[in-house]
Amino acid sequence: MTEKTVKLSDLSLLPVSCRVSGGKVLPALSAVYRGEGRRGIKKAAYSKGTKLYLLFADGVTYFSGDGLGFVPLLENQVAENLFVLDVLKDGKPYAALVMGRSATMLTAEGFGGVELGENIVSGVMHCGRLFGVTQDGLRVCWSKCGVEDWTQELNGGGSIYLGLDRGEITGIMEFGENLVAVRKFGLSLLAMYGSPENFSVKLTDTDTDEIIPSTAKVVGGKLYFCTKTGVCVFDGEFVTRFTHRFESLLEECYFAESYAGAYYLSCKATGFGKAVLCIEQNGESYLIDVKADAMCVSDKLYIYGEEGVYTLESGGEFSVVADGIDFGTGVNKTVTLLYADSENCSVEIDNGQFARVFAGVNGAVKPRLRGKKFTVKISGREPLKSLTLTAEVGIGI
Amino acid sequence: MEFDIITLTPEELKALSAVQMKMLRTAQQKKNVLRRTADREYATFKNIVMTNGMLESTLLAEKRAELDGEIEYQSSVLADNLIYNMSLNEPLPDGGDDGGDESSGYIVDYSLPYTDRYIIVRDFYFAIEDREERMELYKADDVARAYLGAYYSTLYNVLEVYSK
Repeated sequence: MTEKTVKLSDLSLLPVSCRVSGGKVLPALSAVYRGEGRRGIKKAAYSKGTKLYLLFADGVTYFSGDGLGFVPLLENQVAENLFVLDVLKDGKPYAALVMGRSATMLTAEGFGGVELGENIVSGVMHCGRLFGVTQDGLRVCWSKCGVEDWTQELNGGGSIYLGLDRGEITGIMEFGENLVAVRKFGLSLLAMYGSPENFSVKLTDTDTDEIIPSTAKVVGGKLYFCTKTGVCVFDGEFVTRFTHRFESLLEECYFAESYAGAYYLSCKATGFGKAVLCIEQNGESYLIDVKADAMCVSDKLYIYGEEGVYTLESGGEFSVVADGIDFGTGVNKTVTLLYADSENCSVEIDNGQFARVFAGVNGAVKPRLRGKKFTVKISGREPLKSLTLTAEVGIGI
Repeated sequence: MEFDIITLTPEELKALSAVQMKMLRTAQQKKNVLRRTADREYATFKNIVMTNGMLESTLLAEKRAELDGEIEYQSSVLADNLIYNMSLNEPLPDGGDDGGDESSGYIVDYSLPYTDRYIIVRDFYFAIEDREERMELYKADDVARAYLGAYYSTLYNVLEVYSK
């Protein structure tokens, strides 16, 4: 019989609402329930200029002043092609709900309609113009000024056909001083500041495999997005694969948001179901156990779903799962000691057949559990400074 | 030279006086220069647009429209001035007034002293706004040469100073 010990740093960890840093498990953000949910939510948006929250569900547009209580505003809205812009008109801020050729200009006091010069499905305000993606997904068009003036002239409105080699355009957003057009199979970088005579399409090596629409977000000066094969990052020159703890577990990716220097991806992960994956710029990642149908960012990240409205807060309960602990051998072994350096945590150790649970752990517990492989789950609110497991490993079976 | 600055039938073209023909040629040359300059500017713009990867945009069509609009405006000003100046130099029909050559556009009265003749011709030419055209017409004006005598070169020098 020999004794083997494994430490936290030896384990493959799957953190939920916590981050692994410097050999410790530290609490991170968790989803805090704020109010009732709603069915059929497709999109959410926050208008910084008007301080209004907008929600699109079941063909209806709702608005709210606090992100929690919503009242219906408009009906018969097709959320897939609807997007929200912050615009200034006559010095007054408006939330422009753009759908196709028309836009509803909204303030807290009321709303009115305006006509656009093009039929656009996605857009962004940049250097005083509205840059949009046309309905056929092949052209980027721009206004002369603002949302309403589309006068076609040399220094006015215009458009460019981006070609088919990277597929249709699924979205457009600001990227530093440039714009990036997210395509089906890559990115196009557009320099579109100043007068249209100076506009240019930059030559970049940015072909990728199929990009999942609505997952592209700018975080910390880099563009994060999901393809069918994983998360990628574009730094302005090159696209690189981003590796993270949950890479092999991601089944589906839905949409993303950028908040407080991190990338939040609504996804489905094996063993966790629908959740939000947080990827930080330093490479750390963790899951947040919440089912998101839509997200938007104001002072906090608001998450909307059928089960409720949530915001991300610190101080919540976290858990970290370490799977497949075999102590480096395939034979049966008995876990004799588990030491968790935490003020107060719960420990669950599972040998694949049954589990032992210990509550209020502050130091050592003796699981005396026999098996070939073990799964350990630690839950709590206080940091876990270290974790060690000791097992007696027999020779043979 | 092909003339499209204004529309003239072959018969009308033949009936033009030497001064009128000179005016027509000068205006046409200016229009041709405008067009040539615009074509060069368009070609340069096209190269810039290609370099910027914007060939498939609406910029080229809009630039062409802008340049054509400017040519049209400048041409209409040239044509307008040409028609007015030519009208001042209309050849007289048969049986017109005797005494004086009115095809020059100013009163030609040999009974007047030279100083008065000088003033008449001077005022006529200073009414022509385009300095180059003014000089060209004066050089071609044989009537003025005979009418002013020694004052012709004096007025030439004055016109030249104001053409710079």
